[in-house]
Amino acid sequence: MTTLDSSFETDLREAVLDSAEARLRAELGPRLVGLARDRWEAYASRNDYDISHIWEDAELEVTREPDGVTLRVEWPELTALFEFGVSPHTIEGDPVLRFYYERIGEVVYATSVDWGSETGGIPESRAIRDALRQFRREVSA
Amino acid sequence: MADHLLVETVLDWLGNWDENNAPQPVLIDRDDAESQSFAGRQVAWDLTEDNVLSVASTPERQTEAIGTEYDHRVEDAVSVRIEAAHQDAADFPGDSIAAGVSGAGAFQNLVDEAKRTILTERTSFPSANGVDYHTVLIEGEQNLAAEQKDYYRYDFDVVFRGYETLP
Repeated sequence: MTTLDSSFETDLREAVLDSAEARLRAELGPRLVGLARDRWEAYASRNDYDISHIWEDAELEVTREPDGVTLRVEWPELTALFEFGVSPHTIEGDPVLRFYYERIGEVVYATSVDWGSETGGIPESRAIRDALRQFRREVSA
Repeated sequence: MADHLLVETVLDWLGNWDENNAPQPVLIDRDDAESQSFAGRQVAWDLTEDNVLSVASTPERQTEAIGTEYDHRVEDAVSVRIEAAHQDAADFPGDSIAAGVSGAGAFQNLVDEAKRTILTERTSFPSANGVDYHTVLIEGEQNLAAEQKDYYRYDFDVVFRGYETLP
């Protein structure tokens, strides 16, 4: 007859969490970052943007809690502007704006600027949201 | 890219907007609006003239083979974006603009009515180009108004799940 150790439930929980944590760190986490990276690279080359810092600086963090494991990916600041896009808008100075305008090679003073009036703004990339949708399907399959 | 028919479907549904709950925004098909061809198309809207709800087929289609023959399990989505300006966002303090919302509460009404109008049709089982959708739901809601003074924006995806019968 086998006697179960009184701590076997706790041990089992720990073992399950251990393996989940290891898998998130080694396999699933990098997979999610990779899925997003593929989309970011396609988006950057499509629009001719120099935004390689977005995928290079993505940080993966796996935290262990008593009853679960959390995977958290942090993309650098301002990534959201590319993820969601920006509509053309007017920027107003307080009271004036001063900036170097590359095309004419001069410093310009203005009270307001119609940002995006020529480029049409920043198109949304959806890199992260689409990566998450694919990731969710892969994990739940 | 999701099927463009889905964008038109959602825009159709939004035609049932109930003005009693929130003023109806201008409805824009962003697939055309964000294209390079500007001729005759609305590419941008002045938010001081009206609130805007735009729909695009930008989310990727996800497919998966099922069965032995086989057919496809499909997940499509369209992206809905609601934008509005604060009604005090005029050039001079004290002025107000023709449209816009009076604050976060009024904007919330706009978002709620959009979601309600879309979800009312969740059981209408749309089909598009050989795909029959059995489920319609709203996912990935993001309120992007937090960092702005005068600009409100809310994004969500309308997800369509269904099956594609391959020939």
